[in-house]
Amino acid sequence: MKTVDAFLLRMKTKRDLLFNRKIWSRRSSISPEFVDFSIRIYNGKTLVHFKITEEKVGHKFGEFPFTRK
Amino acid sequence: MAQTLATPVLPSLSLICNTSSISKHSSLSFSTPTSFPKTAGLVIKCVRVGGVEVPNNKRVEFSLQYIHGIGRTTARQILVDLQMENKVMKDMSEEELITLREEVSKYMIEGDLRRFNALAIRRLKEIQCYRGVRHIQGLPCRGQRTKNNCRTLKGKKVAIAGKKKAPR
Repeated sequence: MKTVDAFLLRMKTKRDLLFNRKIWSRRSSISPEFVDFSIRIYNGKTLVHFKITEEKVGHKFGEFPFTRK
Repeated sequence: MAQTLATPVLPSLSLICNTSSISKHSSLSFSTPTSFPKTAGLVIKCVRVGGVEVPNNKRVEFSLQYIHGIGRTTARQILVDLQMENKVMKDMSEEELITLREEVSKYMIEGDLRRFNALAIRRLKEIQCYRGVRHIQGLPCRGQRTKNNCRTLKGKKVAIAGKKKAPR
């Protein structure tokens, strides 16, 4: 079972909510329903723009924005 | 013409595959037939398993490990699966070798495995995830420390010019 935070799980049904949304939950994995959305992920300091593509499904949100200088 | 070309090739191929004939062949080619080739250390006689040459003078369990993708566990597993005695490779009969080759071909080895791994790494690089970026940078991607060590990935030590040692 992949970890997905509850608020993201709700978005599987209501997909419009995800559009350009800020996400702090870096530990959640990207599920196939989220494909083709651009969102913003927190990197510890700022929010980084990020587009979800098909290959990124199954990875976690936190793997993509870099947290170091 | 084609037949005359083909005939000299075939016996040489059979020599490579056939262990018994290869041992005869090598003993003939040696000027001193009394000394064994393996003790002389000049010629390593080989058996081909899984598209790779595997040393002849070792037991099956260990000579299988010369194939990329077969380690200690898999080599033992193959022997268990085949219910085979752990003989020295050159004592194997031709039928045993064939069964061994079939068993080995069930695993992902050599080129296939290398390609599979390379593809997985390329995918990581393409999606620009943390592990992919670490692969691009040539640094460890499993959270090891990089302040010192990790010489496998970084390569040999390079001295930084002008860096003074701390005065005692």
